[in-house]
Amino acid sequence: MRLGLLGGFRLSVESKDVPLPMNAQRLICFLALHDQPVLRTYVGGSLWGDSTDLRARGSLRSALFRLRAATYPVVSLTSDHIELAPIVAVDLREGEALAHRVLDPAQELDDIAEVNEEVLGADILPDWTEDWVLMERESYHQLRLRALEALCRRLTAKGRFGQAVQAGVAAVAGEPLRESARHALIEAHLAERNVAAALREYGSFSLLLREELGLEPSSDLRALVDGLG
Amino acid sequence: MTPPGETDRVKPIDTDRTGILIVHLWIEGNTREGFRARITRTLDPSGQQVKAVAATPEEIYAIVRAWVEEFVVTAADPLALA
Repeated sequence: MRLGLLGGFRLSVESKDVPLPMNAQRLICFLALHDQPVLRTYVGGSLWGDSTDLRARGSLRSALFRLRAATYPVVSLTSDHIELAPIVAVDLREGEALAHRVLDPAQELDDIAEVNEEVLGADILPDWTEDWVLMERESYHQLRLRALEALCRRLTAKGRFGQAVQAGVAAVAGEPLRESARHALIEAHLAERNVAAALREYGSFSLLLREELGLEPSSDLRALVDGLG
Repeated sequence: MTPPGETDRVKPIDTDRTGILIVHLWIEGNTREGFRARITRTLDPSGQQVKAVAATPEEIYAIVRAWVEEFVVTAADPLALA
């Protein structure tokens, strides 16, 4: 059983989607983001805190009923606590593990690049606006941007330019004002001898920086493209 | 224990309005001029996210101040957000 939080909610069993009502989706996601047993009262208060105690407990019971009706056990229950069942693989955990591998220079790249689009290219539940999602989303967002930037540099060093550019583009899309990501992407373009793409990247960054903050790129970044065109 | 005469049905839970503001700071090139901030903020009840960028601490203070003031107004009068 696989739970997808990156790019949007998706629960699947053997690649088949399991349809769930919204209150059950919210419960699963809340438990997945906590990654440890959580008190029932805390869950009810966090997810349905704008209703009465009684209604919050009712909403929690209803969500649990829907999940128990699923073919596979999605949650584990005790009298006081709830947690995501251990058989549920969460893509966020894979993304975090992958990001830490990429950021560790001692780890080999091997098959890392093949999966970067899937788990490093997306944020947690991007269209959800709830407080408890927002903090986790921001935390993972920063981790994946650092990882994508590092991946871009490491792939460039390995001569895998196409994949390096792909990782660099994803890093820039995540934070267009992050100059270090632009630096890594421009270096990947130049390593591939794609001067036009490097100049285009520098030009679009200069324009954005001027429009958003009234600033110019650093001398380090400018030095990369000086004399190229 | 629920006091006599009071049931869960009539017991209210806090319904205070909330907002979140996240300030992400970073430095480009390890220089003071490389200071950057990305500010993400929400205001209940819409929950809609608004993003802003800043390159000086003063710009951040101004954004945070405006957000807090907007929050106070809309929390007291949610219709003001419409």
